Amino acid sequence: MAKIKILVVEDDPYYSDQLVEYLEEKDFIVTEVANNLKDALGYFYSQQPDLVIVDIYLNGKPDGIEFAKTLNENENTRKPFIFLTGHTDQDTFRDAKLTSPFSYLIKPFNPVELQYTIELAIEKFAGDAGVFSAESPGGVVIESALFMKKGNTLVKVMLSQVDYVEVAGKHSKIEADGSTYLISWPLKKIIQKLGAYQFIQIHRNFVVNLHAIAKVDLIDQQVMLKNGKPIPFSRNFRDNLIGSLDIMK
Amino acid sequence: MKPFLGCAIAFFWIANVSELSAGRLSDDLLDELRHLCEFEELTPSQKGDLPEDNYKRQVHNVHLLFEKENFDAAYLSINESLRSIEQPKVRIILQCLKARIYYVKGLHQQSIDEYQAVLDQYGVDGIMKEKSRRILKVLGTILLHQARYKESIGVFKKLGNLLNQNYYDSLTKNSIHNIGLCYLHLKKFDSAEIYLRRSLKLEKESLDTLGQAKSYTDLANLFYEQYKDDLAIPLFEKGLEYAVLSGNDEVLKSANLNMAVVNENRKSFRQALDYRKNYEKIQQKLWDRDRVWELAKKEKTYELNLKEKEISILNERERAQKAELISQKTERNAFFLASLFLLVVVVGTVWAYRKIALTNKIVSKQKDELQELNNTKNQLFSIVAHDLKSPVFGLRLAQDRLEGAVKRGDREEVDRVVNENKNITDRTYSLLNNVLQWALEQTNQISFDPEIIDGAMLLEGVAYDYEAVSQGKQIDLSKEFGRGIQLNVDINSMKIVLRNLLDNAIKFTPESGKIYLKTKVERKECIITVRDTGMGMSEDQINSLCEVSGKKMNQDTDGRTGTGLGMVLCYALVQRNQGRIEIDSDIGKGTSVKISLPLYKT
Repeated sequence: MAKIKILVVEDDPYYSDQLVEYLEEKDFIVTEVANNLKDALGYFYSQQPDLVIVDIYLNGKPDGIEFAKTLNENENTRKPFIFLTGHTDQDTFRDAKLTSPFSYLIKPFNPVELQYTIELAIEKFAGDAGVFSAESPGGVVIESALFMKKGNTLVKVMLSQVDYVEVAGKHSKIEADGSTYLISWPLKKIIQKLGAYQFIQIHRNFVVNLHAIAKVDLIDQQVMLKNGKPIPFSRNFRDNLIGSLDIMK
Repeated sequence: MKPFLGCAIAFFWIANVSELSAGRLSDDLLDELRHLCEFEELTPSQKGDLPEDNYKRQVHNVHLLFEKENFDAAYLSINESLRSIEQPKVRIILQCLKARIYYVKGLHQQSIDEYQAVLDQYGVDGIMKEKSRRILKVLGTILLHQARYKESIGVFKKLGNLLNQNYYDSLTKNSIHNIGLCYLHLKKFDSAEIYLRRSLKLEKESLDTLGQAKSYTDLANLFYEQYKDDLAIPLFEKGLEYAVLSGNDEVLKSANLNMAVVNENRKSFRQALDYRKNYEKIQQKLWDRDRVWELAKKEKTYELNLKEKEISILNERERAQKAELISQKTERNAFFLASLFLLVVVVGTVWAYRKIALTNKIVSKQKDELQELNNTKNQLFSIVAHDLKSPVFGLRLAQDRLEGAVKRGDREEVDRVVNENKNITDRTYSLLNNVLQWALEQTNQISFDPEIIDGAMLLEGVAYDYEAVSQGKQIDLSKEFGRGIQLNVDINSMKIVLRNLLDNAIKFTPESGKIYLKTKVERKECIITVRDTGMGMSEDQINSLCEVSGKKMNQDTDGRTGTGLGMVLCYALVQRNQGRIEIDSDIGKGTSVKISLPLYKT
């Protein structure tokens, strides 16, 4: 499991301290607190955070909007960002809105609001609004990471660290890096979401990461993962497995 | 005595013939002229600017004048024309007309000269045959009339050469007869007898009773002149007989006169008397006829005048009618224009009046609105000022207490004062926040940006802030949020609403009370309920919640009054989010506020 990295851009130490406190309380990593536009851009490119919380006004100038514009310019390095503001007047919002932010956080805010705002921003960035708050919460895939809820906490799991996914009733169990995550998605949907990566279904109840496979035991009809966990494969998916392994070679 | 009488009779005859012939020539020439005008296209074209139009116009003019018998003008016109016109055809006609005018005016010598000139200038052969015959005949007749018998004979003989002797046309008969007459006047009885007998023969052959009457009479005159009464009398009788047959009164009259004279001379007075009576009877008849003719003519003129008058009257009437019509038209037009103008004025006035009225209405409405807004603002100011005054003053007092406590080292007192101050600042902050929001809302500056948000997320975020407060007051805050309720609302404004509702619930709920915060879906709407077991409100209080003015302030559980601004703001903001607020309350039991918001359709 990887923690979600957040860059804070805020010139008012009272709010930046509060933000850091709340974020860490909720198991986010604050990569840095920048208090001006130049530093903010520098940290953003060097630390590659998963999300940015940026105050619209930095030292009395709407540099937050400038920052957002710069982020939007490059599609490849684009990340979700949240505007932080104490102003709710129209002019500010109109200018901010032009940068299509993923959410706003109005000062003062509490940890719950902060967390929901972050979730909302990530959902919207992935184009899947409401996925975390849904009756059966799912996850979103951004780049090579899966974002999902573990309890009340939003977590990030690198797809390369996922060993296998196993059906658990109506939900699915994701085994990654020694931890287990429960996600309210059927296996079918997981295959669909992870389809672009190196995952393969080998059994009605199992999807494995090809990179996690240590060896295939055709006699016992099971694969041995690198972490020593055996996973059975069924005849129906045998050709699927062998074909995929050939590609690997 | 006898010869004189004969001469008189003969002369009467000659005059008669010449008049007749000259008249006919004039008619012939007129015909010719008309013919020229029409068939030679001598009628000038309407434009009248062609070179040949000049003479055509002149000839036409002569023609018209001649027809009107305005000979003086015609004469001038002919002379004018003769100066410029060179076509022989036209010149001959014009010259003949000129000669004719001379004759009519009694200038016989000039007339003769003119005719002679035509014949000399163009020669008998140079002129068209028919025309030259006529000219010769007229010339001969005039000469005969002027007693220039020899010349007359010459002319008639020349005419005779041009004629077919066997042809019994009047021209032939006339020329022969006239030659006879000329010889008679010259007393060359032999020659006269030859020609007159030939004339009689021709008249007989052509069965012309009138001609025979004349011929017999002239022949009788011939013998009578020679005193051959025996030969003459039967011929006179013959003449009378044919004169009766011819029915020509003039001839009959002369014949009767001749018979009367003859009988007088032979002393048979009774017969002479009878003939004389006959003569006078005919004379009377002729006079009568002339008179009748004249009368008829006069009558005709009179009638013509009458008709002309009528026509002129009709014309006048028509003109009058036209004038009336024009005046009517003008009147109508004027009336129409006047009505149009009036209509425009009326419409313009009405339009201007309405415009002014509308403007006035708008102005007065705006004035009312402004007045109301101003009142609201004033009230707001006083409330805010009052509400800010007491907490700030409270803080000031608390500072003194805090100072004393710190000096005394009384930690408990310090904690108590700090806690109180926290509460005071919280409330004041909330009030200030509402004032700010209200100001933004009222000036339409509030940002409104609907977003899709989960209902539970929204409520959890707000409720979080009240957990501590409610615990402090030992109020149980129970939360029950349906999952997956998606709303499309402006998050910030909805947070303000929910904060206000929770503020109120906690304020008006006594310690150990309960507050329920709930969301659920009902009929495609999300219902957010904030229910408390507090003091409750009366119907009047509920109804006045959405107004700033005229509000009765309620004391909360700590005995403090609120501004009521929060609820006004709630109504306005919920409405902006397409929702509505319902309030149920029982005094002493509690209040339930329900917000209905449209669900976001996925």
